[in-house]
Amino acid sequence: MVRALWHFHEQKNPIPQRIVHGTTIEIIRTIFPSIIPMFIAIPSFALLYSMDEVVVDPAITIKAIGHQWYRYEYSDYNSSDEQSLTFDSYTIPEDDPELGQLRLLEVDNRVVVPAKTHLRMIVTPADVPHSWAVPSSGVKCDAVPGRSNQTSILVQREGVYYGQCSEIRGTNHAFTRAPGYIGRLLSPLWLSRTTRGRGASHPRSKLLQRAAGAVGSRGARQ
Amino acid sequence: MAEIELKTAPADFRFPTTNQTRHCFTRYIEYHKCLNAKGEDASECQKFARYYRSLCPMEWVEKWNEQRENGTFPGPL
Repeated sequence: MVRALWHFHEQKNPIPQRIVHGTTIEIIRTIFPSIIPMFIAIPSFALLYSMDEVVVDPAITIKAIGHQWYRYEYSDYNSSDEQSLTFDSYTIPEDDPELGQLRLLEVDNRVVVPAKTHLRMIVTPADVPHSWAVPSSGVKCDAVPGRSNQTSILVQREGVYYGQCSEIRGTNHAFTRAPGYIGRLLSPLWLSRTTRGRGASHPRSKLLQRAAGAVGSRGARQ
Repeated sequence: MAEIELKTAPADFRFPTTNQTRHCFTRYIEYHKCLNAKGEDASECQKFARYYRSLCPMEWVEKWNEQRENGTFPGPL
């Protein structure tokens, strides 16, 4: 611009230079801007992939299997292939919720996870693509058939967090809920007390026992 | 209350990305290779069993078990 101001200044240059084209500069100014994004892309891709890496070994793995509903498996303490704690999680229908429950967000069996613990979610579907999302925890993980995706979560606070399936498949699928899950316990006691007999009457054990019981009673529900 | 240790399959540097399909499959194969090498009752192999049970959906494990029984399992056992 400064160059143009100089060359077209009436008093300093009464006969302006006529510039029609400059091949060299045109080539340079086309190629150079396309090289700049390459330099931006290299660290950007490195950062993008490193964001997905699991840096800290997780303490617990929970599998979310996408159907029209979600089925959850806790398999860390299996001693055989058949012993997973598995339960289905259905949205409570609109005419069923109790007072105080959130319409189309509550589920019959919530996913229970320990708070302040690195956990790994493995998300995969049984049929078509789904997407497991809990916006308040900043989590969304696509469930792609034939593929098992992992995502890391750290629940900082105890409470109930609601999620929704983010890949709409079929009737009422917009209302398919990911967990209403409860981040509980500041110590990793929750599983031992709940599943190993000694604390069987503990309230947390009742939750997991109810969840385990759900497999038999509701497994076939559509 | 006594503290217990929560344990699950550790993060494997061979599979650093989001896609853990191969991780699950590799652990399953490692377990069965270990059993083939050390015998059915080897306790060293239980570690791999825990890892694949944590990582793999049970449907996949059941399908692979069936394939192994039929002799059609596609992996290197």
